[in-house]
Amino acid sequence: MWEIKKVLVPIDLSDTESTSNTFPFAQSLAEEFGAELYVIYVYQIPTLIDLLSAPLAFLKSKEELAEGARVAAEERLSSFLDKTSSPTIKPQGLIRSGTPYEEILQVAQELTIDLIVIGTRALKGIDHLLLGSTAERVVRMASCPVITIKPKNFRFVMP
Amino acid sequence: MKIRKVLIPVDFSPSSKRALNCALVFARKYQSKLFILACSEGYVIGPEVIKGHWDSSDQQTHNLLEAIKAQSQKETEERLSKFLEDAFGEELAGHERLVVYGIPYEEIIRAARRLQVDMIILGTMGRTGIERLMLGSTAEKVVRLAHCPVMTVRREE
Repeated sequence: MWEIKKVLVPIDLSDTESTSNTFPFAQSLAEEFGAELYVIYVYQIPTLIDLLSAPLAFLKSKEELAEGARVAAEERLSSFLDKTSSPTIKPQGLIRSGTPYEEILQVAQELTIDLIVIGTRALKGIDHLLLGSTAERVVRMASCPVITIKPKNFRFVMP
Repeated sequence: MKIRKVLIPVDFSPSSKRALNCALVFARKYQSKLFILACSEGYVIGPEVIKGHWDSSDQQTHNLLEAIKAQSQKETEERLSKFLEDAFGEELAGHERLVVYGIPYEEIIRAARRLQVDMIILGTMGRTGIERLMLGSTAEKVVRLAHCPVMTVRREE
């Protein structure tokens, strides 16, 4: 018998459009079912290519860069959680670095998540063709049920 | 947030049974009405025929196609009843059943819009799924095209 005890919602803090529908949906479900809500943010450690636009960063060691990215990610996530706080439910924030879909699936497994709520990305013009590669992979590979939520500007197009 | 209406397209596979189980969890919590949809695809000639790719203007062809469609509809209705009774007994009493004719993903999207459902719940591995990583092609299209949230459910492993 399937029960909703733990809900995982991956958020993309660089894409507020996709998070704006997804998070409230997950929050409301968790509230209704009395479930624990986990929010995961997967950040990227800057690569050499990213650093070309910030030449001074070359002076820092790899460890310093990774640490800087982690601190920045933590700050972004905690400010997101502060902004969206609700009196009845306290989401637990999780930070990971790496490939988003891999981290999401791993966390889902580790925490024995019952339901993942994930947003799909909106790209102008071809939004009906694209799901967003992270959402698509999570839908394909997760062993628990996954709810995909469309961004606000999703338009319906029957191909 | 309220989840008043839920559409559950079924193809009689184990994953659609699991999708119905999940739908019941929402129905109990939100008093949602469930719409269980089965799609009848006709026989070998397929739905293209009905959509007019064949010349069905002469009476004989037209009658033949209508007969096929009616037969397919009837068989799907019977199959749906048996599937639901075997798996759920009386648990789904009071919820709606629909049998439609056509290309499954198109009919699912159309029904979701027409009924203004708040969520679609569907199994990801139907009859044609072969690999663990594959999402059924119907499920994939529904996830992409539906206006509402879509919950995908894998079959029990």
